[in-house]
Amino acid sequence: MTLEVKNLTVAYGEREVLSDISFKLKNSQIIGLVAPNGTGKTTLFNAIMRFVPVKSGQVLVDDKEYTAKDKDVLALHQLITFLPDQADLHENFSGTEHIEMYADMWAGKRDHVRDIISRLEMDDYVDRKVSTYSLGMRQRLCFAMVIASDTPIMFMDEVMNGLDPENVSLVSDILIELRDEGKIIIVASHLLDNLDEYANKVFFLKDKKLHFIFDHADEKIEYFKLLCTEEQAKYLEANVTLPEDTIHLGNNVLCIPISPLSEAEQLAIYKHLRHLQDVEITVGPLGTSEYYSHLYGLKIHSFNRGHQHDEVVSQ
Amino acid sequence: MKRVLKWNGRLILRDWKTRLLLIGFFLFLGTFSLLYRQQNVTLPEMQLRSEYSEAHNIFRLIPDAHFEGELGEEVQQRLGRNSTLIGLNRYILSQREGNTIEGLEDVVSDYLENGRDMAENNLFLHDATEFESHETLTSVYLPSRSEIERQLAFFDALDESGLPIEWNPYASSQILKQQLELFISVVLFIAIALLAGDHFTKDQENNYSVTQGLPLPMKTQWRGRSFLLWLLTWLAALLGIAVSYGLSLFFETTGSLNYPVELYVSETVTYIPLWQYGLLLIGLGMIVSYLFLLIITGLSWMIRNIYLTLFIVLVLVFLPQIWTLVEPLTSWQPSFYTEVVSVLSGESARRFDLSGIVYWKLPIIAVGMWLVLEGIFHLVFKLIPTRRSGLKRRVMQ
Repeated sequence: MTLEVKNLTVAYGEREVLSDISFKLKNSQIIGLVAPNGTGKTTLFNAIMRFVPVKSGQVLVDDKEYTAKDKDVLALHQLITFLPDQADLHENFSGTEHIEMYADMWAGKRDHVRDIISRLEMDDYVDRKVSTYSLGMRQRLCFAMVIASDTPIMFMDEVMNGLDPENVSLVSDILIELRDEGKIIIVASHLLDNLDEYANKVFFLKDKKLHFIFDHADEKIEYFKLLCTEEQAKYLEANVTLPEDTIHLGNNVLCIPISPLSEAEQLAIYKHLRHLQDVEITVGPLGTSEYYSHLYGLKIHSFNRGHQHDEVVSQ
Repeated sequence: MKRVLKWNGRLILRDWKTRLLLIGFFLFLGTFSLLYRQQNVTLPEMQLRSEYSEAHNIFRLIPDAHFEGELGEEVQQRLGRNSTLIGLNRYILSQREGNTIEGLEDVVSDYLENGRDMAENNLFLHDATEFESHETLTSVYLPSRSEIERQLAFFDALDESGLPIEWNPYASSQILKQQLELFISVVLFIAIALLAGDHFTKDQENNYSVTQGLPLPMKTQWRGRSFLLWLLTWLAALLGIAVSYGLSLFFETTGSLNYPVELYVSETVTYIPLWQYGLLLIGLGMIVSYLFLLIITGLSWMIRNIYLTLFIVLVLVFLPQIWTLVEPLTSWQPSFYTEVVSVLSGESARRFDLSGIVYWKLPIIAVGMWLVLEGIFHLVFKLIPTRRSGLKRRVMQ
């Protein structure tokens, strides 16, 4: 199974939201879709599903084009499910009924429903009416509905919304299982580090385009990743010769490539770091969150641990 | 279709608005006959008194000379007989015994027979065009020819069924007829409009992402959901009507389901038993209501405002009134047939002066309208009901 989008352009009136988006995905892939709010993630899903008008472009599954004709749209909807919004659930239905409905509509069978409920640890509440559910319960239900549909392609928009860390981990595990079953899954999420746990690639949307693809299969460069204040970063730059391709991410992350540094230089940096207060250092390749900061110039305005006005170097 | 019926059936029945409407609808229809209890039966004594007086006055209006000769004498005899018959019928009614007076059957003849004799006399008088005061007779005294023929047909039908005249308009069978007529002409439209006016709108407003993208053709959903609402409406209605009829059997005289009811067919009036009339009303009502449900649910998909949808439905229901102002071109005009009761009774044919407005055209027109609706909504369902921007074309040009 392949999903291909060719030159997709979407506009609301005169305002273009997505321009000339193209990509091709093969089966057994999870794609992370990342961008700040309002940059077109949901619109991209909606456009592929034909839930919004498309200005131009093609959607192909297994190299067969699915046009805007009724027949094609219906056939496309048999292949793709879109994670429902938790606010849109039927309040008078139970969770089980929701899952059974999706299983019945797409898969035409319901024998896997109980397994899904158990896998997502929903047994204790799923037979109650949805109107009694918390945000996290609803979100798990929406996820369960998509799994029950068992379509080869799944769009998961903000799938981790409202989930606690345990459930984020659970959903992540199931996403990996689904990928291993051969599904193509696109996950739009703001949990950037979480995306790195399962996504094969991460698509970054910027300026209406598919701006950058972070492929986890590519060879990676190791970095010292320092979480520090701007003053601390300046101190380091003043006292240590940093490699040319050191990256400043926003106002508080400094990524220093390790490979150009000798062991002595690495040690020198480390010695200076020991004198800096409250600095976190991790070692590893750049992840989605670093790329995100880099691409969108993310500044963490609330980065303040109460030491902003302290001396840069501890006594 | 099976999946649409199953899941939407569940959703509809879980919805409290639908439940309350159906229960209210059932209770209204189920208790309908109770509303008419303890009312006085009014016999047509006043009417007969007026006819009696007219029968006497006519002798004063026609010069005696006109009653001379064979025809004149026959006319005089028939007028005199009519006067006697009216008198007899007044007496029968004054005894409040119905159609005959027990024990005096030999002396005081049967109300029904008297009526038939009078109608036959009147028909003779209509045909007596040679009579010198014929114009006076027709303008002052005689009912119209068609009315007399209707009376005769009515007496024949009563004869065939072996039934007397039903004097109790609140007899179970008569209430059933009134209830069916009220239901088919007014209540049904209110019920389906309220039930279906926001059917798809609710999906789009409250359950957008759960319902969009279902792998079911929109037209299948439209047909299936309209059918479900139609089924629920008619189940509640028929159950209510049956309960109401059952209750009235306890509290009132039963009347007869074979009682003749007027049916307008191709410029003439025929009489059919009440049960056949009832089935005809229900059958035609079912056809009209299904078409209306297709329109209303379709509109609820297009318009996310129940008030606007209800307004459009109201306009459609009252559309036939336009033909009282504008010349209607043909009796095949579909809007005539929304008024099922008027079509069956011939009221529409009289009002719009189109004798071709007859009940058997309704199913044919309905098939045509259904095809038109299928065509219209085939185009409408090509659009996308976007979450916030209304209906849009799938591809922007």
